[in-house]
Amino acid sequence: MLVGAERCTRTLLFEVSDPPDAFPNYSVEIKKKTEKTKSLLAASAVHFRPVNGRLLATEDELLGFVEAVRAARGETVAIFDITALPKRYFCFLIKRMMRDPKLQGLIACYTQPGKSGYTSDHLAQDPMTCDHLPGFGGPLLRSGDHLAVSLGFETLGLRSLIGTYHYSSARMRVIVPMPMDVTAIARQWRTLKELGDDTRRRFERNKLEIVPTWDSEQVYNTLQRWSGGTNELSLAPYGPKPHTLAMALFALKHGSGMYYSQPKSYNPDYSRGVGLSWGYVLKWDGIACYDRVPALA
Amino acid sequence: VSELLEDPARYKRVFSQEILVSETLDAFTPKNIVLLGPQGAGKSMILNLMRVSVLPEWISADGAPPSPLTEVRPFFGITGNLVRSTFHAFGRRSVSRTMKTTDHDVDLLAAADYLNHYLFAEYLRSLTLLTEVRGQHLRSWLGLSLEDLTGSALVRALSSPRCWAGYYRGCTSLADLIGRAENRLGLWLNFLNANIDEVPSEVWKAKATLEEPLHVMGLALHDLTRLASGISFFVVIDQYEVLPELNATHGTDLQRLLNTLIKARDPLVFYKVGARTHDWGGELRIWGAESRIEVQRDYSVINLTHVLMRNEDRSGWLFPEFAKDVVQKRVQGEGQYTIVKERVPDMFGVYDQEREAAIYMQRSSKRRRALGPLPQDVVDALLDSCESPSPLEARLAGAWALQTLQRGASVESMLREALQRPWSHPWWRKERVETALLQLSSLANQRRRYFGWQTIVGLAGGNISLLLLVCGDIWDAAAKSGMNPIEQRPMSEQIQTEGILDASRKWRERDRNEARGGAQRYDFLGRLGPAIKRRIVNDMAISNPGHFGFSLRETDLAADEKAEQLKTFLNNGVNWAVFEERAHTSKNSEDPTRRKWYLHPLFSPAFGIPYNRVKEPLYLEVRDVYGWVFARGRIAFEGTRQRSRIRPSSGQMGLFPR
Repeated sequence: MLVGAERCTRTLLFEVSDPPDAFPNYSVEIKKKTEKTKSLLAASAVHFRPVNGRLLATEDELLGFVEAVRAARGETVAIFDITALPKRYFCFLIKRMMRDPKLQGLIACYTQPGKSGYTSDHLAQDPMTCDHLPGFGGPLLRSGDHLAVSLGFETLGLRSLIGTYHYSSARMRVIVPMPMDVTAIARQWRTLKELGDDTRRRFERNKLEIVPTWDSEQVYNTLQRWSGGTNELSLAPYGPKPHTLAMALFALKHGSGMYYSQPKSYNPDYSRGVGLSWGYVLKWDGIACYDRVPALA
Repeated sequence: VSELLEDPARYKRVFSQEILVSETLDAFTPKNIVLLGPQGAGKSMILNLMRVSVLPEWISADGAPPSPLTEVRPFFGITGNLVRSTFHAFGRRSVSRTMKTTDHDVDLLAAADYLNHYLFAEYLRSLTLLTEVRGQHLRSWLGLSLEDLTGSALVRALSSPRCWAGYYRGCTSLADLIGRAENRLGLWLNFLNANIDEVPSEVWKAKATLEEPLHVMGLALHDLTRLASGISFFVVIDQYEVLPELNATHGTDLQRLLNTLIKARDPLVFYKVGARTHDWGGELRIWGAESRIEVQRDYSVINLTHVLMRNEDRSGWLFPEFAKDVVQKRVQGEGQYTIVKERVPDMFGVYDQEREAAIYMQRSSKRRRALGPLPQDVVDALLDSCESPSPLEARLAGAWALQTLQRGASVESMLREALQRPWSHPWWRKERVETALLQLSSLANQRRRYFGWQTIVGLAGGNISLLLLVCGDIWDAAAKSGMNPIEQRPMSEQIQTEGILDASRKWRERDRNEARGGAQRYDFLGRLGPAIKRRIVNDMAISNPGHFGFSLRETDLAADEKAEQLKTFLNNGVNWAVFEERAHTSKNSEDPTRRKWYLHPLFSPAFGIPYNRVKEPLYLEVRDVYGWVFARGRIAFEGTRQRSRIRPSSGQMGLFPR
């Protein structure tokens, strides 16, 4: 949503389609749900312009979407809902919006699932070979690099990431999200155990940081502490969106790389219900949050 | 593996160079090589030994390489990881678009420039390593002197050629050159990461041509060495096969760029490409032309599958010896335990079929059950014909009897023939014994037990990563029960079974979660495995002992779009060590060549199916397998012809009267 002269000037709705060879193919269910959402928005008198894109959009295509969100006609503030956007989209768009001098304010928002939480089935499947997130290639890696992993509910493709980028156990650290409900906590620890078992790594306490799912700032500060302020910390955002957001901000500040194995298929029942909503002020008066607060800079 | 590759000391402790390098020595000779093999076959481990950053660990104080490498000309190798270097992103972030042209060659020119400077930076860092103390023995093997490496003549030779378009002019040291190269790479990365909107003009004006810079690097080494034989300059290309996946629009064009380097057949530069078995060959054209790189002419292929996987007659199978070496090195190098190679199998003990059978049916009274669904009046006579009270013999005898009766023989003639114990004939028995054991475990309502060194080697299926997975999980199971596998050998059957089942399940999950296309394979395997098991358990006559794999005509796999789709699916399964594939001769003499596929042996414990390969798989049509894979229904593991033959008409009588 773009704001100018203290009123909403434009609302854009990103509609991102899975690749045709995704497995399982949920395109029919997704289409139904998307139509339902559009009807709900229309019924609530939200006027939006749809922006259609492919999940595996290239950097060039993403730059095309940047044009769509570029501030125009006195717009100075953007409110960007990252709840349902894939990481490769919102990280790239935030990067460009943070650097857009016309945009004086940028707020990201995120809504947690309701009490029913996430599906107990797989959230996402069919991972691709690990790659950097568009726009976050990072410097050419050196042997001194450390990898910070933000843990999700599954370790989809994380082993291939470690294989491709050759991170040794001594240099891997994990941010463990602390979800709201007990089932999710159990699932989280199981994922950590799998990661340890599969990679034959032992995670010592000082290599783990437990952070609430919504707390971007704590993730940022943790990364800052781990990196010692250098760009020698690479990032693997497999966890909740606010953690990915923090990683993207850290990468913007320090030029770090973000690596991810993109799943091609997302469960249409990914999460249920509507929980708390959080807002993250990323930029105001044209100054990025990480350049404002001395502790973060 | 990834950890070992970046730690030369650890890599040296665990890499079985004696066996693996001597079997693939051609890869270390001055020629372009494509090293093929499924995931986990050891490609990266072999190619890693070529790197200058790794070699110092292997060269002795008198400048000698490890034994297999004494046979080859000294080499200087660098690596270009195409994903880590971000080379794969050219075209996704398009130079041509910023220049408002539709000429895609612009993007390839940019990629070529980036690749040259990236490899140059790697080359310079490797040269720098040779000037350090830890590189002194390697330097001596290469016949290079410290003075030459640090002298201005080398910097001049590297910086002045016209191929760099003057970019390195003014550099006076290797460090200068590295700094300049990194600066250029940084500018390119800024563009690829969308930090800047255009390629800086100073970069674009000084583009390097594709082949010449690498020739310049090779020539500098050639001129520098004092060895009469010269030095081979190797460029190891890593992640070639993922370019089309990670860059859908330009990935194959980027491959064509690399093919062009191979096609050049530079007498001083040799490319070494590692690729999964079926990921090589999809794009063999060179850049800007329709001509292709040709095997034997432009490059040679080393297929690790042929080196490590078993021939069906087991002759000259290298893997068991290799496996012992690998496990001994891991236990000693990583676990800090002392063990001699020849004692490795002792940790797991010797596999014995009769012992396994006795686990399922300890009392001889259960032998009747082992015979299978035979008429009561046959049972006693048949058991009397058996040589031993073994339940395994009873099951084989029962299978033989059922088969004979199904062929139409009378009970009397069957019992007469049984006196000769035909089920003990070596070939008849060999082809059926594993199925018989599975049926015994099923009759006893027990899970199959897996133990013994031969079993572990068989389950690994010639794949070194899977061998380590199995051994690691057995070790974990032993540790959980408080035992030390080195001190208390052999480990119990229960512990080994537990570890092997864990490894089997893990391999299945891992393919689903980690590998390209794994989700679909997981779904397919989840239906195929139980279907094969149902067939095996129900076929008490063991009439078709090889029917846990399937065979298709090679020509049918190219017939139409659906066949191609199936072929891709099967090929990917082979790439990721989910299927094993072999060519075979058809039992029908007029048939063209066929190929057969089995699930990888390590899946056998998870699904309760045999892992030893037996001849004559189930013959199928492409439409059968296509339906199984893509229609996602329940699988009946039988072909179209069999279905029509097997389905009895309503009036048909059963074999035995009720």
